[in-house]
Amino acid sequence: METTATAPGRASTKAVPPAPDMLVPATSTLDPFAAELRFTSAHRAHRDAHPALREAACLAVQLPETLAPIEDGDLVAGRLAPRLCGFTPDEWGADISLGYHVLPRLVDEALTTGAVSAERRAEVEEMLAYWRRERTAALVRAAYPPALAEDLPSDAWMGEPGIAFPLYRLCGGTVHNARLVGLGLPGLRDEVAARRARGGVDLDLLAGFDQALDLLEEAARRYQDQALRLAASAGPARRTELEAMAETLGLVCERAPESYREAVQLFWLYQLCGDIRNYGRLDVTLGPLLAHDLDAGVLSDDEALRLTQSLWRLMAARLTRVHNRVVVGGVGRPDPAAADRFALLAIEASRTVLEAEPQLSLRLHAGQDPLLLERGLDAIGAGRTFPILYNDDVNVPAAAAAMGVGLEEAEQYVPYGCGELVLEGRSFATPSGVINLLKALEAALFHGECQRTGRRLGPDLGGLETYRTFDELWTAYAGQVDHLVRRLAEQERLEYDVCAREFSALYLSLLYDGCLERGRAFHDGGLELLAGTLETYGNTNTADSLLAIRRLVFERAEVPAEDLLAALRTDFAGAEPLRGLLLAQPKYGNDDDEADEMLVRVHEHVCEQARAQAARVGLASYLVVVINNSANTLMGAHTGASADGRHDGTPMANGNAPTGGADTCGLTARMNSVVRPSPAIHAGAVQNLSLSRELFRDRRDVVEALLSVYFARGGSQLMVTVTGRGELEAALAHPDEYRHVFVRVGGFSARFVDLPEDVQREIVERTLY
Amino acid sequence: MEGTVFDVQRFAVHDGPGIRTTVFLKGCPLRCGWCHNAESWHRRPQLAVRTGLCPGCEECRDATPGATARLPHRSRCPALRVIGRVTTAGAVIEEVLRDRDYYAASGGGLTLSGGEPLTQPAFTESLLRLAGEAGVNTCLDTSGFASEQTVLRMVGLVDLWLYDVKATGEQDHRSLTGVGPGRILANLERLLVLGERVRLRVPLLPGVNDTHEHLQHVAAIAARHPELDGVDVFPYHSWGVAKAAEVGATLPYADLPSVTPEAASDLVSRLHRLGCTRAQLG
Repeated sequence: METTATAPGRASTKAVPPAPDMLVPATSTLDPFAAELRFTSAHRAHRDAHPALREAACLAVQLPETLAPIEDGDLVAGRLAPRLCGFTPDEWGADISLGYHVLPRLVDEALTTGAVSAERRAEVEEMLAYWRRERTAALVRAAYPPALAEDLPSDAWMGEPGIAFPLYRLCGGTVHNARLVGLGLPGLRDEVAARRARGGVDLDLLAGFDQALDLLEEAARRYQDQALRLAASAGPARRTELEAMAETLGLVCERAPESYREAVQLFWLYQLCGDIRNYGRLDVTLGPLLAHDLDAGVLSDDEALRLTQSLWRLMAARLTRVHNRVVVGGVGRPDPAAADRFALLAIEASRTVLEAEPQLSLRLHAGQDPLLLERGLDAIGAGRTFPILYNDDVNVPAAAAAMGVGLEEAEQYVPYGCGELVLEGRSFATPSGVINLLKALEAALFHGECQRTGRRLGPDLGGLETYRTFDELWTAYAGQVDHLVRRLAEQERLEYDVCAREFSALYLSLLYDGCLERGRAFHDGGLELLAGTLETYGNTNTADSLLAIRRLVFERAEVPAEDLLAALRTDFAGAEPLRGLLLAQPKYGNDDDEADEMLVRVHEHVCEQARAQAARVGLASYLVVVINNSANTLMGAHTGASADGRHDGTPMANGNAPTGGADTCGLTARMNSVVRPSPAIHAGAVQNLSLSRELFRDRRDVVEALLSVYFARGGSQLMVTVTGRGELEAALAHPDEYRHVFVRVGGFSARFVDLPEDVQREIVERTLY
Repeated sequence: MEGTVFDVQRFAVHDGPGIRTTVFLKGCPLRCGWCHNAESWHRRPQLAVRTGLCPGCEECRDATPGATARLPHRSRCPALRVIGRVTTAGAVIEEVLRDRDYYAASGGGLTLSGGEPLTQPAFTESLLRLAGEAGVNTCLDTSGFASEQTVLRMVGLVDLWLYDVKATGEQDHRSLTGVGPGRILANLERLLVLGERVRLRVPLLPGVNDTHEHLQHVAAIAARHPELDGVDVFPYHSWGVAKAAEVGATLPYADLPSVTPEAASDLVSRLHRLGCTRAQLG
């Protein structure tokens, strides 16, 4: 049995092999479908139960199977095994997964590779048929009203040409882990009991909470037993470690954590049981007990680092690729001194644990201990791509404005996933849609049709040859975008509603503000700030294309519309001079007002259009995120040649970065451009910056000045890859020798040689300063 | 005030302290056989032809590399490019000032390079003056080959002179750069007497100008003038060869390979051994 743990819709074009340490529990090895069939039976048996109780019943089957054994070297207990079907409140697996899900491709794989009896095969087929109907994503799709189904006909955003696609997932849950550590299991149980005592509440939901806490305790006890069993046969050093682990596991069942070790253990088990993949402000959660233990001499610096490194390796083993966010630093922390001690430890762990995850994110603000940034830059300079830098001075007011909350509340912003912002424990905003703006422009140029296939993308609002002015083209482009943004917002609301009928997301709801008090699941009226986000792609290419068209077709009448359309259709075959002319037009990323203003116009249009949907569909906010992953490459593959000179099927620019190679005026010019789009109207945008190893090593003063000015001028975030172009080219040629090279792809860090070759080539071609 | 500029490079970190914008002025009286900006030699805008880029449109078939007449206003052929544009000092400074925050944070500023900026003295003076008025630090990257009067015009406007010492001895200097060293060395001495801040830049080509005599000369200047800001060694790289061909210029040392990092360190070490301990790689 084999599965991948990459996020749905984020899979690379080749399957990511499971890490060797993701061992399948013994029962599943003997009978590869036993766990899945039991899970399916539980789901079926509780079909008419309250969503909270059904979820708890399913988790009671799932957790013992998917919490994988302690492995050699682990100092903290808790690993996840792969599964072929199950429940997640977040997202799981390489295929679409939401809530109750199955991974059909992997089931097929297991059926073809394993020795499966005919009888068992029939059961599995029946199971698949059941999940085809009952998986949550299918229920969401089935609930589409006709208009929604018509405008969003396909879910295959990676495999088909289209402007907009829905994504089926609830991701980015980032709970109040400080509350978890403060209360511990007994305290949380007391809170549920107290709520029950006050009355007027959905008792089934509370029963679900109780069961979830029981399951967590059972998991801790199972790991405790395992640790003791392993200790009995271990050498002296390992025995000490395992005995400490066992003792800790016992303690977390009995009391609120009183040590760093207990806090880490409870935190980690809770995240695994709840399938929570983004951890929020871990310095707030773990800092106070870390400081206490270090000061009291209970824990040495070295022990603290080793524990943290172990936690980091366990996070990496989840292979989420785009999640595993740990946030440190920033304003709004109750005990900054203690939190900073954890932050420094976290940076050291990220510097020394050579994995692509967790995604350590460092929030910066004026008045912060400069050591945090200094150490952070050391790790970045070592080629780790972490920490990702966030500028509180910009992000706090921007998040407040975008999300419509007060400044104090906005201080609790945390990035999750590829860089979407939410408020820790206070808001939820999964990205449930993608829109390819460049494809929308294509539709506006070609009468609503795909220029590659002739397939209908949107309404026929005209074609380039019919527009008399640039404004008419703009109106048609905006028309293609607007109606799909409206649909995607409706889809997002619908997805929450269907999910609320299906499950209560017990572990999330228990640690989200207001849910216990209101006695509602987070997506069922429990969370005040239930929001949504929309991923936009192709922003830069769209802006550069629009500008080229405005200048050449409308302002100067230098290129007839028909010529341009023909050149785009044929991917510039025989039209290289025209392509040269298109490439020579001003491009975003060069501190050129005309180009930057067009990008801002494209950005503001889609951001405002999204924002306007929130009230209409009943979300606290609905905001664009300009994140990236490999979607620019994957969606670019289905996008025709564009008027910025981009060839058919080639990658679009990454996030809201300039097109690779088009930023020819120097790094400062690029930095000046990328601070132009307002961060106060969206929920996160990412900036990748590749700096040469030599610059970082020899001119650290220059790098620091560069960053300080970028942030002072309004830069909200920055991800820095430090590498050499020669090193990347060598890695392309000799992948086996360059497994230590990590790069930032946009929304995540990856081992360079693990990326698909087209993405590798794109990265090599990005401007490196 | 108008002048001819052929490139503006922002985030320049090797042409003086901090983060800088380097403005490259067109025109140079020297003909250094290793020049990495041979497209800067001619004072006027020129046609560069990169035949490899021609898609077969024939527009470039009759084009003369380096031509200064009948330049295409806007060519559609990617093989044709005009090097150099006539612009005003005000427009250049406007672009330079877009990065003033970066200069302030890093101790950087404006660097004028070329070509030889002193071949456009009025434009150079104007740029320096405007930068100075805006509080922007200035560097002038020069061969020093100009009249004393021209050099003196810039005194007080340049925060740091980046001053080339290319060869030693009348004959060597003339054969390698096309001009004699007399005026260059006199100007250097004059600037130092006037208390100007100067940093030496020493381009070194193994087997060409890395003679013992030349290195000794560089070391002697450094020893005589402890007030020098520093001595930067620039080992040869061959990146300029292709650009030269595009404007029809030939470089005698075109076949010389770029200096390896090891050989570069060795050149610096030789200067150190001659007592010039301030020499470092630029």
